[in-house]
Amino acid sequence: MNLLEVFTGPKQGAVADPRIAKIRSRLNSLAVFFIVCILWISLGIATDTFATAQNITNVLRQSSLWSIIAIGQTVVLITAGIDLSIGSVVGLTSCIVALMLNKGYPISVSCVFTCLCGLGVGAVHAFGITKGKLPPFIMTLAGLTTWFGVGLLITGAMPIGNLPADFKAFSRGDVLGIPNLFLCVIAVMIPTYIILNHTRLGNHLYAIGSNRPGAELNAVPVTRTIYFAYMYSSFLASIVGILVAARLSLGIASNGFTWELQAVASSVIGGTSLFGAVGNVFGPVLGATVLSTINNGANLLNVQSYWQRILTGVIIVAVVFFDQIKNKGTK
Amino acid sequence: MKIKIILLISALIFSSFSAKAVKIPVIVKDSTSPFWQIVLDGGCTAGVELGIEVPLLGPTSEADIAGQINVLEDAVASGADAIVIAATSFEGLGGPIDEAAKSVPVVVIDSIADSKNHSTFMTTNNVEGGRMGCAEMVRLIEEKHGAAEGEVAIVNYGAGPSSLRDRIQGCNEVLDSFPGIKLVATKVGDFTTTRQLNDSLDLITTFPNLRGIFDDALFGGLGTGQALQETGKADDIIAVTFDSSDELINYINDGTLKGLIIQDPWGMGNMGVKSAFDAMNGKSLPSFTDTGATLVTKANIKNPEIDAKLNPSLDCKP
Repeated sequence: MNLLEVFTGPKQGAVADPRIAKIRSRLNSLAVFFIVCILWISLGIATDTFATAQNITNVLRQSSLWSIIAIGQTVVLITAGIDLSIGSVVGLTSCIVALMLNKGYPISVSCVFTCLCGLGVGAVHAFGITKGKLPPFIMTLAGLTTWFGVGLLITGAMPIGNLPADFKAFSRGDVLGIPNLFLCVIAVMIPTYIILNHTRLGNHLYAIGSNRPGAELNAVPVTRTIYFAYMYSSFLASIVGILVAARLSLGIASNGFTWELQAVASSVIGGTSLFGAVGNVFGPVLGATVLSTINNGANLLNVQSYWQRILTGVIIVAVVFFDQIKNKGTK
Repeated sequence: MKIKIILLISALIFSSFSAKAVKIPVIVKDSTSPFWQIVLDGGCTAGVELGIEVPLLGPTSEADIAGQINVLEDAVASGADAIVIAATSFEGLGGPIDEAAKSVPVVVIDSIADSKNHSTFMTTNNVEGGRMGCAEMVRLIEEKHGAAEGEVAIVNYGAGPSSLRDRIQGCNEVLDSFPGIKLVATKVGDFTTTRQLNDSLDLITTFPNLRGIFDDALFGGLGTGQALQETGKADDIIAVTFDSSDELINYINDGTLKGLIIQDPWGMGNMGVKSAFDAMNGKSLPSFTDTGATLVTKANIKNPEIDAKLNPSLDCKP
């Protein structure tokens, strides 16, 4: 293990040492963790409303949905791919679950079927990328518009409301003060952490992102691994589709509109590399928390919402810029 | 050869078809919203009544100004005889509507654009609707607290449409006339319910003494209603929102929201197409027609007249 790689990244054309890739992404996450701490402490000092139980609950709820899709995006980004379909898959699956509930299917059946649809959507993307040799950007861009269209089609472009009270109650509930929505994030983080860090599948994901030809030579099952990445991302998007339908009590194709970009932004702010092989499960959650905190903080400070967007853009550029300086400086 | 014959036949069919039928498309702002579905149903019914073709068009998001311009240009190009349109943007659609009006009469419904050449403008008087909503909010604050005073906030669905601007203007006029009422924030959204929910939650957190919220659009009202339910503040904060849906009607019945300002979208679509038909036949039209706004509260929601407006039958088949 060449420790210098921690700072420089793998040599061009070489298969990254997965252990070092992991150390690198953890260092990045640590930096973002400090950004979150600084934001929270400053907001706690600047306002007397930020550090209240109700508001922390709000921030956690607001960040939960983005965190989950950002985790899926991260798994795809690790393979040097990208999933631009996420927002539309969230919208489509929110329609599917709402339609089924309206038809009187039990909540469990509706949710399971919706998740299966999510897996199916991911399999379609992976099929196009592996068999059709389409670039992930194009395949999932096509997905972005296609799944939105399917969502409009199956609902006749009408919003589906009047969802069962039990279904809605889940998104508002909490366990020991922790919102259910945030518990879902933890429930997604644990298996993702295990997969990325303690399985061969995890190593394969990093290996493909670092150097695909090299990975193929080293007998990494590339096709199967790519299927996993895109199916996992769409699966998580379908979970968010269910959660957003429960939270808004509304299934509509425009749910999740532009969230694929929030997922990419959260992931990148959390230290995931768009070029693959660098990323972990904490980064996207921290990144989504940064974005939600900016929105919430600006609202609490009663700053007009235009600034929230500008600030988000500045933070994305700053994080990636400093990340690159750090890498260049030691090369 | 086969293909050529098919093309020829279809061209013949198409040209004879378009030569016969009068075509007046209705272009709404967001074909995914129930409000616009009702407008389209009204337009469709007018088409059946007049025996003309009424294509139902529009982008899938109110934020898609460029998309709506394309739809408008395509409608003119494909041989429409007159056009009914609700402008997604006052500035953005001004030029394109002027351009379209050179070839066909254009009737603008709901939201006007920066154009002088449309035949007529038919809409809810949105300034009046905004006044109505905020007057009810202030009246209920006075009833509850004994005086018309305290902090209130406006939640705006998004920047751009003149209808939303007018509602906020009307609301502000009412708020300004009560010196005790203090407007603490006007939140500008991005045309999504999630955003409106988060903004409302943060308003409730930022201003613990908030007494009223006015939300200017349907999906915004859903967000505000959800925020009041999540925080359990529905009894403390008097919320009045615009337009209706099943969920919003539930919110009125269970007291989460105290009032809805509803318009007559069906009438807007129906009268829009009929006026466009008249304009096409050379009749002169008034420059403005008010299609009316109504306050819905828990007290009057069962009223048959209100019920017919809340639950229009959407069964038009062209």
